[in-house]
Amino acid sequence: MKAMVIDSSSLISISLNDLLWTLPILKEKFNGEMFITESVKNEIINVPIKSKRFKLEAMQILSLLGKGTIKIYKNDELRAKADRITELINSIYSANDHYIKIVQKAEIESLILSSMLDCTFVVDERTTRLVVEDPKIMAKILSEKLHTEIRVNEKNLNMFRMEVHNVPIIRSVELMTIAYKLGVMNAYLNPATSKIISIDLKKTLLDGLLWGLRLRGCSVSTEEINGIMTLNGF
Amino acid sequence: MKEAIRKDILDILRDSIRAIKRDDIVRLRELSDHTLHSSTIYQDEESTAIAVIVYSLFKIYEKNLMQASKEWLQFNDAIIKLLDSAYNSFIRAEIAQYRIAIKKIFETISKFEKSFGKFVTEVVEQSKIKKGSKLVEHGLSIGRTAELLGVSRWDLMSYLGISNYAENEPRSISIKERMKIAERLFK
Repeated sequence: MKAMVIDSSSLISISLNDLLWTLPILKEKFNGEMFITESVKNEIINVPIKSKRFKLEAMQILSLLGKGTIKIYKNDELRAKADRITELINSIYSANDHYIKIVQKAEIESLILSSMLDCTFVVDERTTRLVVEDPKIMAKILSEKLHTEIRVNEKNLNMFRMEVHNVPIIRSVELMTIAYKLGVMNAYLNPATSKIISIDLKKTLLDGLLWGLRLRGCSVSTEEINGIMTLNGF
Repeated sequence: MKEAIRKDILDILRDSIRAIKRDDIVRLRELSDHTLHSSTIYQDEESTAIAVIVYSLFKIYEKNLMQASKEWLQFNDAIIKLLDSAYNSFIRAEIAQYRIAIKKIFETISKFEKSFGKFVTEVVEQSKIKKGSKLVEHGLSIGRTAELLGVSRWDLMSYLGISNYAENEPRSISIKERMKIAERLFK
């Protein structure tokens, strides 16, 4: 089954940029399933729906669930495994003989699901991504920020890597760049706008898209944004 | 409780009282960052709460508008007394009493800011998000930080976007490679 698992961090970035409307179109083009876990549903719907500030965004995501664009993946095995792996990750890095709890179960549940389904994980959150892709960088960040030696429990790290490996990860910026590339964002390119302001509409749109996602929480650097802007075809 | 945490908290309480008495707002702000390392490593309630309290006090004391209010003197006296009480309880290892003083400081801040209606709202909530962004910067995930501080991920993500937290960090894979992963997904 072709699928992607979306973490709450990416759905929040996409939602805060008013880009949720692109997901049904992307789903059609990608011809696969978009999954979230039960815990993610709680974070992006159940919690904000009780608040005033993000109630509308929660309703908009709820509508995508109602339409079946995004599906909730329920699995008891997943929850049990997430408990175990969260504990494992939180026992990898230590400072002053104390393990640092760096992740939360909900984030790891999505990661485990991606691993179980052998599919791409969409996550804007930095820590989860680094633990999977380069755990040594994570140790370096912790050490530099905390000005202290960070010990890595290699045994726990290896156990984690045996459980979760080769999960391809992208962020909302890559997903939305694909949407741009596939022409989904052409809805914003009205030729009449060139009479209002003299700019390179396509380039400005991509730049605005990437900066919008970054400024609403996606962990992407200026260098990476510039990198996307200079890739072939843009 | 680890001796390092205990010492940090005592130093912060003592120095915050001094800073308030001397009207040293800059020092108050500096102090709010002092427990961040303990908060990241040990994630104890005390280190996290004191960081939020001191930052909230900084946000209040920096505003001249608040100091001109009729409630100001009463608020200022109450805060100094409560910080003193927290310090004395903590030094005597009376943790239950210490926690009561901390709770009262939160309540006093909340009551005071409510008297300003729309001008200043939710100082404590904003401080939690601000300190939360620092914990993320130090390496905790957004979810873990939200859980620890009792804030929503939505608020935290909104704030993190403007905080530049991941700007100069090493990359695990290049943007070119990551774009390829995304492109493969749509082939």
